[in-house]
Amino acid sequence: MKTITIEIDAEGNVKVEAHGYKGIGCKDATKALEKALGAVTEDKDKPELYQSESVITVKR
Amino acid sequence: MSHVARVAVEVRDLEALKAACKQLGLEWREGQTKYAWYGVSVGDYPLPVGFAKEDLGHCEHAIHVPGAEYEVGVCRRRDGKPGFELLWDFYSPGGLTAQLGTNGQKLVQGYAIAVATKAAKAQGYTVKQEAGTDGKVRLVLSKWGG
Repeated sequence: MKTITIEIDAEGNVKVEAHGYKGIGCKDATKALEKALGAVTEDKDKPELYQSESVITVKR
Repeated sequence: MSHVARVAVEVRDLEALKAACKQLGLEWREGQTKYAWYGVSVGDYPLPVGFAKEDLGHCEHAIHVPGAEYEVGVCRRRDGKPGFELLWDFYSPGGLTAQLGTNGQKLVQGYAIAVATKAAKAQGYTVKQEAGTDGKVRLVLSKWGG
């Protein structure tokens, strides 16, 4: 099953995490949620699923 | 693939903000164009982009906080981006820091919960809300297929 967890700490910081998606599906799945919440400040693919880590930081 | 994104919350959905107010026991005042504050900017903190000193105290809507003398102003952003700024005076005798936290984080957190839940449900997710440690709130979204 596919799940997404959204963690909002007491300071109002938000972390969105996607699990169980294949390929780039997880980015599509979380994109609308991230957009509804605000501006993405950091976007990381989980390194264990890749041979090399890919990190994208988006500043808007 | 899995991934993690961090998001800086921006207030764009007034319905979600109203829902957060209700949840937190705050009073939404639709169309109230002034919010209570100290009344004079002493210039000790920078203003949001596009706002002048004279703009303080004016808003599109206001939020009345029971137990506090001062109020929160909901003001359209003036930096060219969509959405709203929450303006409020955190001078402590005004009472807002005691009710909302030093940075108004209770309101920001409440808004984030409301807007994320709404967006998730709109996409067909089942949403479960869990209370975490240190005041954290976790929303667990699940969906079969998709």
